[in-house]
Formats: sequence, structure tokens, C-alpha cells
Amino acid sequence: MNISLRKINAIFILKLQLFLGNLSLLMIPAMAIGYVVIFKNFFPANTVAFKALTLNMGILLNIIMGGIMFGAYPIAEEKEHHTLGVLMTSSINATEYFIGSLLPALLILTITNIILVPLNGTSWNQVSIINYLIITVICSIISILIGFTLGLFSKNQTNAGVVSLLPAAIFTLVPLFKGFSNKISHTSDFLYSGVIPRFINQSLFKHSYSWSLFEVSVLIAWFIIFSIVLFYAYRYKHFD
Amino acid sequence: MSLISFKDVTKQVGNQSVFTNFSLDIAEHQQIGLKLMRSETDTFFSLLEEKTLPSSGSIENNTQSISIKRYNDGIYQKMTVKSYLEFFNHLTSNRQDIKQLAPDFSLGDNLTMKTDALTIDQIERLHLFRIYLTAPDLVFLESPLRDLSSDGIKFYFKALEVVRQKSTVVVISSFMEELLQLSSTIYQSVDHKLEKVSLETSQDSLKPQNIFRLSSHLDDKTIFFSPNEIDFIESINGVSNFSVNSEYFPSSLTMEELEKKLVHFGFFRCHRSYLVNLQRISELISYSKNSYTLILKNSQETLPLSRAKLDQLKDLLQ
Repeated sequence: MNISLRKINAIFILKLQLFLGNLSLLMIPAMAIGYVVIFKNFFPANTVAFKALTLNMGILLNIIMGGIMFGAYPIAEEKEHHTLGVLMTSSINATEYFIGSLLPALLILTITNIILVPLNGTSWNQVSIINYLIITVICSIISILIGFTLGLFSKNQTNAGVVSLLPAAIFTLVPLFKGFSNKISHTSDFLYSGVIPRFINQSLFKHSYSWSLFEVSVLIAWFIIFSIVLFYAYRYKHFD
Repeated sequence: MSLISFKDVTKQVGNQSVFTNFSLDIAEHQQIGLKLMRSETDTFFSLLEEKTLPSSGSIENNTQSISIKRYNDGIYQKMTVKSYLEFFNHLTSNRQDIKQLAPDFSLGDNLTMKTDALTIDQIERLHLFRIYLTAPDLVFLESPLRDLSSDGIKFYFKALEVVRQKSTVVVISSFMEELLQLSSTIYQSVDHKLEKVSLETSQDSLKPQNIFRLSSHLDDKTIFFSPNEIDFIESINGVSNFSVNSEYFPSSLTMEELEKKLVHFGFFRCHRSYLVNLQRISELISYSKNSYTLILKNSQETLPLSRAKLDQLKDLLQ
């Protein structure tokens, strides 16, 4: 299959315009920012634990909820408005479409992730920006892949919203509530979203973070799993 | 050499044959029209887009690119006409001046408008414009005139001529009137095969010969149907409605008047509220001793058959 950078660029520009004009989608990064700002200013408990909790919540909300919605909603919307057929018969192939749709979503989510750290009152000296970017970008990509898969199986945007809720809740809430019980903590360790709070907590509490083979394996495994799931979902459903 | 060639294509969907030994060659700059029923159109596009394979026969595609405009294709909302067109302009290596070309598609003063503010006429021309920008070898348009106003049709013809300078355009519709306006060679599906429709206009043929049309008034237009285009006629709240490819078109005639006019064209009053085209009946099902249902070809529609009409129908179908 040929992949044209020119076509990916064209889809990137188109999708970026559509995302920036879609208030329902932008509401999720805005909610993540709003959440961090509100908790920092209205609950001025300046403890490290509180900062870590607020930042974790903001990032998870943005990456998991945002990533899944940014993946699922546009595909569902295109199916609803019968615009995907136009693209697919305009010499664009599915790979170009998925890459071109992933990149603007990733850009918006990454910019939001970068904004969240200073908004939370956390210094970049405490958090390694390279590690932060690597972890958040990989987790965002996995979330968007999940979103794409859900979008393929959704008939319309309402349907996409409904089917996205459960995976979004699982991948957001399990790592967030890992402190409540050992079982939740153990489960969280095996989720790709579980890497985020581990990284934030270690960075803020221990002022250092080192990658473990287990965390790298978890991220790679989830990435491969959802790439394969998307591949077979597309082969099965196409954009019908 | 043909741009695309269908060679003895047979396609079965479920137990029904949609195409049987369907053959068609489309050469460059031909203005071909295909009169297909809705289910045939869907299958034709599925074959073209390689979403499904022929049951037998082959399709030889010699084009670099094909563009398809289905009847219900939409456009992206909340963006300007210019940015919508710029997207398609970016897809090709030969970018064109949209501002300069816009008047050819009668969209010169619409470039800064939001796409959701466009009329149906303008949207159809916008589709032609974006197809023109990608310059495909072959273009398939499904029922492009169906929802256009009379002025919109005039502008559409002008825009279509621009597209035809670069691409070969094939129009697919279930309405002969639409195909006659857009094509010079028309094929229609008869018993799942394509047959060329004679459009010769000799001196004799200029005189109308036993032309019979039924009309339906919709808003500002009148649509004419040949009896063989109508699947059945249903009386709904006292109004007779023609069912053509699962769409309903009201008639000013009563069921009794229609029955008198259509009995010679193979129509049968199967029920007080229904007149069915006998050529369309594919099955007669008896769910109980006194309940009969007619199933139509290439359609999900089922019609009731009165117990008293059963023997009469059997006689007619024998």
C-alpha cells in the first residue's frame, strides 16, 4: 500500500480545522485544564500529594477521555454525514486517513499535556520533559487507536459517545484509584494508563524517574494490541 | 482501450441475482448513462470499489483513478467553501487556482461562505468542483439532478461540461429522464443484464408513438414515470402513491382511475389499497390459510394479497 505524505498533510490540515471547530471535542482538553486550574486555585492545599493527584487527574482525563473521543467521534461523524465515502473515493487510503486523523488529535492532546504541568504549579525541574512527552505521546496514541476502533463500530456520534464511556472510565479511573486497594493497584500496573500516575508520582515524590522494563513492555504491548485490533476491525467493518 | 471493462459479471446477493452476465465497456470521453434499480446501483458501486467480488466474470480497470459521487454523499460542515476545496486541491500534485475556476462551477461568490449555508444546488456543484480538482480518469455520478431546482440543473450542466473536459463521466440513475439529459448512450438493466437503449431520432420516431406517462407533482416540479418504473401503487389516506425504488410519489389520480389506465401495462389490483406491477412479483407467500403476501424483486417491500384475488392472480401469472 502506497502512503503519500502530501495526502497525509492534506488530511492533517482538514482534520485540524474540523477539530478546532468542534466544541464538543475541545471540551475535554478544556475540562482537563479547567480541572487543574480550579483545584490549584480553590483548594490551595499546597502539598505534593495534592499536586500529584490533580496533575494525574488532568492528564488522565485529557489523554484517555480526550484520546478516545478524538479517535471515535470524527469517524462516527463522518459516517453520520456520509463524508467518508467521498474521501475514500478521492484516492485516499485507510492508512493515510488514520495517520492524518491521528496527528492533529495528538498535537492538541500534547499541547494540553504540556500546559497542564505549569498550570498545576509543578516545575519542569521536577518532571523530566523528555520522559513526560514520551509517556504522554505513547499513551495518547494508544487512546486514539482505541477511539478509532470504537468509531468504526459506531453508527453515529451519540453511539460513539456511549461505547466510549466504558473503556474511558476503566482506563481513567483504575489508575486514579490505585491507592484504594491492592487489587486496583495491581490491575493499574497492567494498564497503559497506569504508567502515567507512576511516572508523575515518582517524579514529584522521589524527584527522579527511571524506566523499568515492565513499564516499557506494558506500553509496547498495549500499542501492538490496539494496532492489531484496529487493523482487524477495519478489515471487518471498513468504514461502512 | 476501455477505461473500465465489465466482462460477463454475475453477482448474487443472498439467493437473488443482481447481475447476470453483465457486460459493459466504458471508453474515454463516452457519455454513458446507466439505468439501474437502487439495489443494482449499490451492488455496482460495491463491485467498483472492490468491497465485494463478482460471483463470476471479471472487471478490468485501466484507469489511474476513479471518483465516485453517491447520491447521499455529504460535505464537511463548519468550514468555508474555499478551505473545503483547498483540501482536495492539496491531494493532487497539480494544484489549481480555485478562485479562477470557481465561476466555471457558478460558485464564484460562494468561496467565503460556510459549507453548511450552501443550497442543495450549490452543494452538488461543489461536489463536481472537488472532483474536477482531483482530475480522475473516470467519474461516476449517482442521480445528480434528482433534488435540483430548474435553475440548479442549468448551472449543473455547465459545471459538468467543465468536468468532462478532463474526465469521462458516467451517470447512474433509476430515472430515464435524468439520464436522457446527461448522457448520449444509455444502458438499462433488463432481467439483470445491460441492454442498450435506442436513442435514434429518425423522422418517424420524432412523432410520439403510444407514449404513456404517469405524473407526480412535487413542489415546483412534475416527475414523469413510465409504468414499468413503478413497483406498485399504494393508497395512503385516500391518496395514491407510486412506489419507485422504495420512494413514494403522490398521484392526483384515484386507485380506480389508475387501475383502468394501468391494467394494460401489467398492473393488478391485489388489494383494495394496492396495485402491483406483475413484472415485479418474485414470490407469493402464504403465512396461513387466508393470508397471502407478495414479495417484490430487488425490494424489501411486501404487499398483501386479498383472498378473493388469489385465483385471478394465479391465472394472470401462469
